[in-house]
Amino acid sequence: MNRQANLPDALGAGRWPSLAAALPMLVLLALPVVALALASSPAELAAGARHPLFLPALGLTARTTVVSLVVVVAAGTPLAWWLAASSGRWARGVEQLVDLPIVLPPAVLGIALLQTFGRNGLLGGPLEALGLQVPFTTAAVVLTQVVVASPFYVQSAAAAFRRVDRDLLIVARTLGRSPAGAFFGVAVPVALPGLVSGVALAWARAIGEFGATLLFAGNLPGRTQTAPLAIYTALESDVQAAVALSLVLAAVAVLLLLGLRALPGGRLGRVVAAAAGAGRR
Amino acid sequence: MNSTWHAEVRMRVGALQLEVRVDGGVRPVALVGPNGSGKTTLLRTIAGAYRPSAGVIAVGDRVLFDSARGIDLPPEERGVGYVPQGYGLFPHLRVLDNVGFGLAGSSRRDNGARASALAVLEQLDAGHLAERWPDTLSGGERQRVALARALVTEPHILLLDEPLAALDAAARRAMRRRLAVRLAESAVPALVITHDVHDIVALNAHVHVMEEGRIVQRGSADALATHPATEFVAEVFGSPLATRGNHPPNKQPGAR
Repeated sequence: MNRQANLPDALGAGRWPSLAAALPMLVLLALPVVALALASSPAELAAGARHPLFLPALGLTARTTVVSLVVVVAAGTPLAWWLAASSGRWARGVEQLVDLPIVLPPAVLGIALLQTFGRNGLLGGPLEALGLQVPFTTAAVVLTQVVVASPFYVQSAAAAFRRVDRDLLIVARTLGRSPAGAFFGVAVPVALPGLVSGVALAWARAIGEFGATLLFAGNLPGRTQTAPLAIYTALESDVQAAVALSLVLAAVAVLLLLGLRALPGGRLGRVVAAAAGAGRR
Repeated sequence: MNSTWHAEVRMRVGALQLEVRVDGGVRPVALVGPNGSGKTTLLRTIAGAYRPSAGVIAVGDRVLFDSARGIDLPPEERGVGYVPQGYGLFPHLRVLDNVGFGLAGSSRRDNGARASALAVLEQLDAGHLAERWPDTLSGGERQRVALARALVTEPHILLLDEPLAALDAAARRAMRRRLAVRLAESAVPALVITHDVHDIVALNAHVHVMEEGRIVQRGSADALATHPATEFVAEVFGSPLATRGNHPPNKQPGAR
């Protein structure tokens, strides 16, 4: 990763006072994580992990977020490519639409989804005619995750695609590749680090989704009770289970963060290209 | 000069109105002009990346674009070798895979494709670079790899955007000679963007000067030095360097 060298002494004079000013905030960031780690003994954690809410909630979170990610990548990649290639008023408008779920409060999003897919919602009539019920089902969990997670992937992917030198694509075309061939043979591998970090951010957001899910999908064990909702439920009866679940989610988040940091920059595309080419040598 | 290719193009790109005719034969054509005069846009248009609003682009007996007849071949069917400014090597592929990229698809697994990629690299004295990554190459090495990649598909015309600009002075002298020899050997017509009179002289190129989207003068370097049509031409060719005489005698003085 590229890091800027330390500032010259004359310019860096304000560095220590700046850090001191930020100290309370840094403590606030660090302390809850430490507290969570210290909250339980291993024995208590093991007991918490045996709580009946624990495994089904984690399993549901794993299944729904993987499905959401597949949807987000499948639909978000072409959208990101289009956004990267467009500069008109339409593209700017679509970009803001994509960003909307980031700024909307989750509770508002939950209500909005109910107003769309609920029995009295915008699509309620047609869905009922088809015999489909969306709210308070696992499908609602996935829909919510897709909505809240897609901005993170699309923005990251679009930024990565924008950094792909147009000339590389022109060269690929003149060397005989179709538009799709140039996209998959050059644009995707070159943009891959950005796509992967987008996936990681989107995944983290999908795993953590709580408020909109609670309103739109409910809190039904085994069907819509994802890990964050199970934490909420467990907190009322069994704090140890809540802490154990929290630690698992925190560990996943930290792993995602470390994974993002360790991304091998421009080399990732090479690894994939080499793996794809290995069979052909 | 017997022209084997020509491009007559009218189009608007951003604020620039491009309205040019360039042509050439086996002798390389140098495209000279100030920044923003539309040189790169013209190269990309010939490559098929931009569609002119009107015009004809033909190389040999193949028509690549003809607005009147509704012909517009996609880049992959144009048979052009494009070497962009900075060389545009694919960063995720080793040198050999960069060069073999144009042979991929149908025949990447076949050893013939790899062998011919390697053969072209070796012709450019770059065979030893085959397993290197692009970001470990020097400017001169990158240039040779990019040229090899463009040549391996046996294009009907080479489009080179400042192929020597990224090199330091010493490498530039060496590469300029090599490029001249290579272009003469391959007998592929070439359209070369450059700012340097030395390049033009070494390549024995016919010059088209482009300013603000139009060709303002054409001729040999000598002719342009003698009768510059604009201030820019005088500035580029008027220096004593152009007339020092370290180049082949000029066959046909005077603008065409």
